[in-house]
Amino acid sequence: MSLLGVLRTGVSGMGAQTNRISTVAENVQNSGTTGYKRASTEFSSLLVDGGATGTYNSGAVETTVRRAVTEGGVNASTTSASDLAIDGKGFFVVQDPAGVSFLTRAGNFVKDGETGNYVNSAGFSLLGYDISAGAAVPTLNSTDGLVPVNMSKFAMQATATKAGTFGGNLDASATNTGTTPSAIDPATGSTATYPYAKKTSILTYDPQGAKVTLDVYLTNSGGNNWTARVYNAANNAQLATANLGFDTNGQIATVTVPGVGTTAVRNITVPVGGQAISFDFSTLTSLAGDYSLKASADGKAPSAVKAAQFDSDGTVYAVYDDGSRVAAFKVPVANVESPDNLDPKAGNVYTTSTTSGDLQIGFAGAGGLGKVKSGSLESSNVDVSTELTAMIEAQTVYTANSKVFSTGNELLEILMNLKR
Amino acid sequence: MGLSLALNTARSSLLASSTQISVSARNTAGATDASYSRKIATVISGGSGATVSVRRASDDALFARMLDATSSLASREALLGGLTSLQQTVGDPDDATSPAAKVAAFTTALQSAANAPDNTDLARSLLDKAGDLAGSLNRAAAAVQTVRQEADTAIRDSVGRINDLLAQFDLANRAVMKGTATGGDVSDDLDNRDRILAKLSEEVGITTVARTGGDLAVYTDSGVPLFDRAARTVTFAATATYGAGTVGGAVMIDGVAVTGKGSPMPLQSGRIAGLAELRDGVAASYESQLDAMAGTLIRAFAETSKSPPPPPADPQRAGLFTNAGATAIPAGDAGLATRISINSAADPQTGGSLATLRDGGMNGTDYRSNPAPVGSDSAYSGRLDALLSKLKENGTYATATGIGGSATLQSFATASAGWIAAQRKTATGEVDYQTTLLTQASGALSATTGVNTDDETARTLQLQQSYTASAKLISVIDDLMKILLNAVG
Repeated sequence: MSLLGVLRTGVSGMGAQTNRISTVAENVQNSGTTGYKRASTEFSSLLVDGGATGTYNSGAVETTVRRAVTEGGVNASTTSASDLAIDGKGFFVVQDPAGVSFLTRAGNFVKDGETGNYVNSAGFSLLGYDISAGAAVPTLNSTDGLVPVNMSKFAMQATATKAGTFGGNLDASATNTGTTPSAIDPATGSTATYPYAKKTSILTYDPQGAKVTLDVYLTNSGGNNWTARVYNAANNAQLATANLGFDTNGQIATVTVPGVGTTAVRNITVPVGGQAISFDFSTLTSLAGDYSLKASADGKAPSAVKAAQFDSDGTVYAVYDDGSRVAAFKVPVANVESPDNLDPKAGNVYTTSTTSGDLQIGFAGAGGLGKVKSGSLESSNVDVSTELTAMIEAQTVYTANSKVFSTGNELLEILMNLKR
Repeated sequence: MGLSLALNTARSSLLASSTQISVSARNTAGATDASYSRKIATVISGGSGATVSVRRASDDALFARMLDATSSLASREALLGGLTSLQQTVGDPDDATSPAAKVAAFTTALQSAANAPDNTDLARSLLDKAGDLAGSLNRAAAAVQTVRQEADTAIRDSVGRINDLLAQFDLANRAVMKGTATGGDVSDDLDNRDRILAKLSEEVGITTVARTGGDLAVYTDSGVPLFDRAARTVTFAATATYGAGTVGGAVMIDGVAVTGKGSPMPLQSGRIAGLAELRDGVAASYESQLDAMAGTLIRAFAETSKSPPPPPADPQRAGLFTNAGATAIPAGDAGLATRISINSAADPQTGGSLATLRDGGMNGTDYRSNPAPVGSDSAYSGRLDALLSKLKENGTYATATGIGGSATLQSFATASAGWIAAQRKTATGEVDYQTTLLTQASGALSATTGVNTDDETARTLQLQQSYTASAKLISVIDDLMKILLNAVG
């Protein structure tokens, strides 16, 4: 029941609308900022407890600024593969130059020339798990083990061949018409040549990444048995021998080797440059069809990293000049219980707050988290037309509050004029 | 959600339409290129508007069939080319220049000479016809060697092209793998790779195996790897000159001989397979037929010693026809067609005597058939009659000649000319058949993966509408924003 209270209420109302128009100004200003989340003002009334009945003291209004973090922006496609967006829930984990971790949805990363890290426009580096040595083991509620995604350590890397397969059909009626090169047979220790029916070759890589072509000579030993002899094509040294047995249906089965007994050979181990390569023969058949042996092996020659490729599950591949690729990093997707209550920091990043809940680290596409989209950026979720209407509304309400203030002031003047 | 979203969506629609139009333009530009495949711009709509992904129309089965038909045709064409040039030199049995016609003319001259053994004009005619026959065998044998030599050179050129193509394939394959790994548009790289494969299939029959990451391995139709992560070497030692019985080198792919008799994995199709069949098969068989004819002539006209026992070390010596002038009867037939010549002892131009034709004795008086002394009994026709009946006798010809069995020289010579004509006819038929197959395979492939310009034009018109609509939407949103901004001002 005080006129001065009315003046204060009017000022409080004008202040609240100032806050509102400030958020509108910020929103409009950041309507083109990647990963920006719209701020909005929510008001709540503050009441002054009235003493006696029949009187009323006007209260004030309190402003709360909310961030619409959960509300996704539009994913606009771009032409850069390192522009990332999360299609769904979750945040990228980034760190500032001081090494402090933050969450962000602003994925406009580019490779930093100096460090090789992927840095977004606000200067934060993308973090991920190094999976070159094995699968990522994330700590569920902390950023431990996360390192900046950096391709420099993957430059010029050779991968030795570890495994290969032989599949297809060995023509059961093939005759031995060729002769293998003369070499010391490791099984007998003496120099020998053998007749062969078919030959294939397979390219492998030693631990230094040098190409080693293996010649595989296949001899039809009769009675559904075949012998595979592996030679190094460069010096014709015999490396390994395997006796392959096929059953009456032409499928690989047990074989009786004189002096060794009955064995079921399904693979052959070939030593190349100190590394043992295991070739799997289990899909081989010996049917009366055309010869169609197809061999393949892993491993690759050293070549320069040409590009980084971001897969939708967050895996970052190092793409080499020869077209091969190696899984290098796995970018996690973090989330919190209440993303809208995250604490915003400069640069479109967020930190966890007491009301947001704890950090949860997961992987893209798993557990309700969004997928990583390469060549796409999340636009700001500001809608300019909504902001303009909010601005008009704020202007109107501000004017009304100023009228309340001026009316209160006039009433006070009348009161002052009562005493002459 | 609002005008901003509408604006964004309209913008992405605009971008999608323009990308589709550019793909349509690419298709129209590539419409006349046989190896160009139609590019398909697929619009993927998401929450954020549309993005475009470019794929190409392809059909692996039809492409494999096309490669197969190309290889088979190239192999048959190579064979036909050689046979045609052989037949042009050799002629058919009716042709006066063919060995068969020469055998007939020689037989007639021998008959005439036997009827009038004292007539020197007829004896001279007999000698001339014998010279013609030996010369025609020499020419035919030389023609065979030329054909084999040309085939050898063509194989060398083909091997060079294969190595070049494999090097190109390596680059093209890498481009596809790189593009696939980075998620780029690889449709043009795939076209380029297919183009190289099509060229490769002309030289050698191939099969392909797709690997992960867009990689492709290429094997020959006999299963020898040509390209598997790296190109394999294809080598061939060319033979500079072909003589009688020269065996040409084998084409080696990845260390395995893929042509020749001892090859464990012989090529089935492609130019190299055709050339190898020509060089080592057809031409060699024909050469052995000519050699067999030459051998029959030399043996039929041999002179036998009449000296009292003990008989000399060589009771039989070469008569009218010799192995390059040697008196000995050759043990085998190999190379005789090249070397057969007229005995100089029978030819007056080289100091010989025509009378030896009638009397024998080109190797001295011991080998004379006429019992009367030299210079007398010019009516003796015994030897000429014996020779004539020997010439008309059935001889045995080896099966290696392709037309072996029991036959007279005349019928064998006719069969030989017929054989080469039949080979050529078969090859012509196969070329026609394979050409039809290739035309159909290419047609089917083109219908599936080629560009239809009418369709592209219609599509462009459709895209134009879509583009116009998106642009209109943008201008409408702009108007709406203006209204809102005016309300603020």
